[in-house]
Amino acid sequence: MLEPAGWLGIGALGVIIISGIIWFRAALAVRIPADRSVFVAAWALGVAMAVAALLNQPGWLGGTGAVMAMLAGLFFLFTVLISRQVLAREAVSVGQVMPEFSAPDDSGNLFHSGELAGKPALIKFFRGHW
Amino acid sequence: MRPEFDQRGVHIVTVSTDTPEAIKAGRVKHGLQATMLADPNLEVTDKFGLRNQGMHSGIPGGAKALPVPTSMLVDSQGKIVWLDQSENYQRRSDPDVVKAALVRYMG
Repeated sequence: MLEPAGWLGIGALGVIIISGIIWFRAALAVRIPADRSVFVAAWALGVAMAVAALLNQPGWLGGTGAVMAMLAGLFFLFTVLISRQVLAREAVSVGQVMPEFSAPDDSGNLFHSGELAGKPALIKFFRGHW
Repeated sequence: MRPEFDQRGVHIVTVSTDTPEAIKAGRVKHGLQATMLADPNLEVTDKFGLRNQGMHSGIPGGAKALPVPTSMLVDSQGKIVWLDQSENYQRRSDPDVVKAALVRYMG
């Protein structure tokens, strides 16, 4: 039979797994909210529950759940921590004419921004596949 | 999204640090019709001043250098009329936001 601390450890893992699933579903739909405090709170809660469980003899099952919850929760919190963008001061802004540029496309042909003359365009910078 | 762009004659250009091979694979996977440029050394990114200056700026021992995810609309004279950036890289431009900007700035 599980001790109360064991249930706490399992509960911690549950909190992390459920919030993690919601997070990844949002990420796949490109719908991660600008304000991520609800996720941060859920992960902090999960980690806190895991620590509390570990300090109160959770047994092997609850202990395993608590350790997994703690590691996953801390990892999620870490990814939020390192994700802040710091922009270069010379970044382009609205009203400026975009700089000229050229780069190879995926067929190896060199593309020059001059090809866009007279045409409106959407230009997207992104970090590639991850 | 595609019809909204074609209707207004808006050309789509993407810039990423992926190699041309990786971009090609992604294009096949997602069926994208756009000019997709490879910028592995962030030369284009730097021209726009969009290199991430945080942990991904390519410092020794740091993570791989990356651009700050950015979408912008440029008019037929090359002037930037709309720019959208997220303050963290876990978020990208919402397709609805881009669509709304398209309607607003490109008529």
